[in-house]
Amino acid sequence: MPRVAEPDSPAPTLALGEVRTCLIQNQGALSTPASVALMQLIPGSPVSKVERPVRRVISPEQVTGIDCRLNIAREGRGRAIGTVLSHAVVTNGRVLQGSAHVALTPAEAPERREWRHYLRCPGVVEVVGSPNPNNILDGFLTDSTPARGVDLASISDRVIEDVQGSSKLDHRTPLRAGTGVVRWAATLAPDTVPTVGIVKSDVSNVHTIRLRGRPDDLPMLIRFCEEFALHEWLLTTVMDVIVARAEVDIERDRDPLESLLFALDQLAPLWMPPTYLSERMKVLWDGLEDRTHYTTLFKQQVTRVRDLRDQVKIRPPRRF
Amino acid sequence: MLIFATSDKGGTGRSVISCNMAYRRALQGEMVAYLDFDFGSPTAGAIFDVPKAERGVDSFGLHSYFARHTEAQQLDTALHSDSDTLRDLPRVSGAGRLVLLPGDRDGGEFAISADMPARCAQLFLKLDREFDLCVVDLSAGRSYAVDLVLEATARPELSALTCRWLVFHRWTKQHILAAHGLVFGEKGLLAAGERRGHDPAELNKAVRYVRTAVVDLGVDQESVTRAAQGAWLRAYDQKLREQADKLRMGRARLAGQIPYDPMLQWSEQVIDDSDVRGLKIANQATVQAFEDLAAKLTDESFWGGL
Amino acid sequence: MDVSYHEATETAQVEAVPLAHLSVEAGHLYLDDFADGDRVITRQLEQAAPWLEAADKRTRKRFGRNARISTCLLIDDYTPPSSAGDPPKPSEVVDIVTAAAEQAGFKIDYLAREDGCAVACERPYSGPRDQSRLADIVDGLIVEEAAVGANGSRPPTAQTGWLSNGQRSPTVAVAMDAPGWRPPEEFGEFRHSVFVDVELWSLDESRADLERVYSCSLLTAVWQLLRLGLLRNAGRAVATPYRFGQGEGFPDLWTQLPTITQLTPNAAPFAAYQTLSLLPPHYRAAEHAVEIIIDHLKFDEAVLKQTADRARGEATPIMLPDNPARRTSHLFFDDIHVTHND
Repeated sequence: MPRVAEPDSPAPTLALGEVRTCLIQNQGALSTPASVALMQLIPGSPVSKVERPVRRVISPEQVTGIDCRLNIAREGRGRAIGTVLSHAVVTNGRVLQGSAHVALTPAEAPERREWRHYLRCPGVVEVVGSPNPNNILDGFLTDSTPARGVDLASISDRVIEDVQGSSKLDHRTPLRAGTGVVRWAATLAPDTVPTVGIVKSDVSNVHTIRLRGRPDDLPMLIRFCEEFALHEWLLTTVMDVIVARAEVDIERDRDPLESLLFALDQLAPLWMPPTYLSERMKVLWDGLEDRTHYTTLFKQQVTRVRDLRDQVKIRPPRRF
Repeated sequence: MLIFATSDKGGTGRSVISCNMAYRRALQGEMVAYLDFDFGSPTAGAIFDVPKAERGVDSFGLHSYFARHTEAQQLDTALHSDSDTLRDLPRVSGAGRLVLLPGDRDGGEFAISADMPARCAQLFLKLDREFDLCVVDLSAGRSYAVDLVLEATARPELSALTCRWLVFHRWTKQHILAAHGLVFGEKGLLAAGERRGHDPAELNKAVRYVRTAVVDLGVDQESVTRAAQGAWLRAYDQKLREQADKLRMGRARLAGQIPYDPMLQWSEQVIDDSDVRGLKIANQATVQAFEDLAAKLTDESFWGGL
Repeated sequence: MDVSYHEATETAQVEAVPLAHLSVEAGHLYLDDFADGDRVITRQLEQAAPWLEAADKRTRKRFGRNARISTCLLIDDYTPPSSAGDPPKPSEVVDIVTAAAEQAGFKIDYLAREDGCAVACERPYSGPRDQSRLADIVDGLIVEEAAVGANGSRPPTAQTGWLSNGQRSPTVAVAMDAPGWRPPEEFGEFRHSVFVDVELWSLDESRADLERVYSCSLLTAVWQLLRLGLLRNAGRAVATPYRFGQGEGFPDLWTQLPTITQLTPNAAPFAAYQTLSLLPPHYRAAEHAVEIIIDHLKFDEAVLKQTADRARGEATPIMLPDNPARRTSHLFFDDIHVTHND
């Protein structure tokens, strides 16, 4: 998590991030020790592990140095110098997330300072120039041209690829499913009540989120985006991949049982909204539920999976 | 599954047939990726009728993925193609998706740098997580692209992936010899694979052949007018078969036989049943051959039974 | 209703290490240096003695009579000895060192071995279970300095085993390209650069497993960081000094020795707020490389905070500089020879 309480540096006013979510390329779900070993992306740095309500194993934060122009919508220029943090998360040894994030503060000096200065606050970039914050947010969220501005897409993607290429995995794909992309931007100001606005993109599996909160809410907002990304990916995968294909399979006399069981055994238990984390998180998530009925939708899909499974068991398909 | 499509000579119809094969699989409900690894002259964009990728894309194609470490863009043909056939794919009940990973317009060949095989393996792994089938269209003849994929597929992280090779050749004496050289020759696939850590015998088990522009002797074609000509053709066809058998390229290794179709010769495009029944510009036999070839890709008794 | 639930494994606990005010490195010797007995070590310690005395005096003046000062010596057992014949055994070296120090008028509190900086051993005859791959750990803490324009699209180049303090000169393939040559440039120094490219490790091509061979610079960085008390393995203290018990013999092989052996009972702690290295001048380049490496490390914030808090809590409170490299000092010195007229 980025340090926001650095006494001699100003609190961040903006934060940007991207979360990518996919299945771990391994035949079976990973055990706890295997998850911990996989998340040891930096030797000697501690891996964080929580068993309940779902097993969540988090890698140490990786630090990437940047010094580049911000991608700013409309008008304005800004140079961002500092470091981006990124980490991987494995949930229940089955789902992998790559999460990159950075907090923005105004630079105190008009030019670049010694590197040690930036390493003192990992995950913070100082912005030289004074672009309008809304233009920074819009530039980051709406321009999907790859590799422009701070490239959190590549950084989060690299986290995923580094983990998926690990020799600790057997690289067998248990279910073919897309990678979910959540790109988020947060405005941070004291005395702000957290708010969230989510947009589902016309590109499949892509969502953008605008958030507001206090500077010290940032770790919570990052976690909210990771939890949203996980739950959104679960819903999409069960609904659009497993249920949709099972229906076609049944129609064409192919056996969908394996993927139906995968949904029930491996994916359904992952649905665990993060309302248990804190009061502020609960308020945010409950608001999300009111608007989207995600949990109801997911439950419906799981019921549908059970029905299809029963249907297949009673009348097995002819082929295979 | 990864399918590598290659040929020794140009003009075999490798790309157009591979594109149609990919389309057939998508039609049957699979998620299919088509990778244009013909870095020198990308053509898949034209066959899929994707205007922005007609001769490769301006940026973020596969060439830049390797040479400049950018992301490789994925173009869903249903959204980016001008072809009605491809645009209509999502409307077919139970159909999957057909996604093109285009080459770059000004790509050109490149030397393989130390990190490229790992990066290539990473790309294949990533696509295997999302796609049921990845068709990798390699340029004709020996190229860096062939060396690259041989090196990538020899890496341990790809050992769990199913990799299969289709060698396309026209049904003539010279083309059969050329295809044989491409696989078994001194600098052929098996020898090059062995240098990169493949077991040549195992690699050979994953190689099958596709005969293209085959004159269909069963049909009374306009080109076969005289009886004497027909008899000569049949005799010659028999000779070619014997040659192929001798070169270990016989029936057991025959993944497909694509008839000569004037439409494909002139206009390289993805065709479907409407082009056969409605417009009648293509032959039913051609579509059927694509369908058969597509079905063979996952016919385990065919790939295992040697 | 107020319910809380917490799992201990969520955040690692960071173990504290005891700290002295000053750690003085009295020398850095190769096993070869013991080939002809005590000549090299005697000369080194005899030269170091007055500087050590001065440092001792100054430290006590600043932090009080009870200021904690420890001395140490690093033996390079990582570089294979060039001389034929068996290298001296640890027990032999300890005897030679102890005697030479006594002759010079002080004590060597801790004896460390350089191979133990690559992989730390906590005890004699340690196995993989109680070892920490310190060189890998430090290598993993390096955050490469961003070149102007770096936006995260490309992976860091540290994977090549080199770390530089600036922008490298673009490679020039053939002589015809020479007009396009641009000089390398030190980051942040736009007038006169001192551009340094530090080798961190290389791959031993002769070995099938392509094991990394760590450079002297990286191992010395590990050594300095141990002396500053800044290294941990998943929160645990590493290379804690080991004191051999009465009657407990030294192992015969250097690899069986703990990374740090405590020679003097009741010595001040090994690690310190400040370090001083008294070395011959040929170590200058490696020590400069160490400074560059330390300048590029992302330290565990809990460790930094713990160290800073402890310093502030001393009887004479100390404000540590933000940059750990500023806590290291060096004195490069080698006597020029005197011709005796006898």
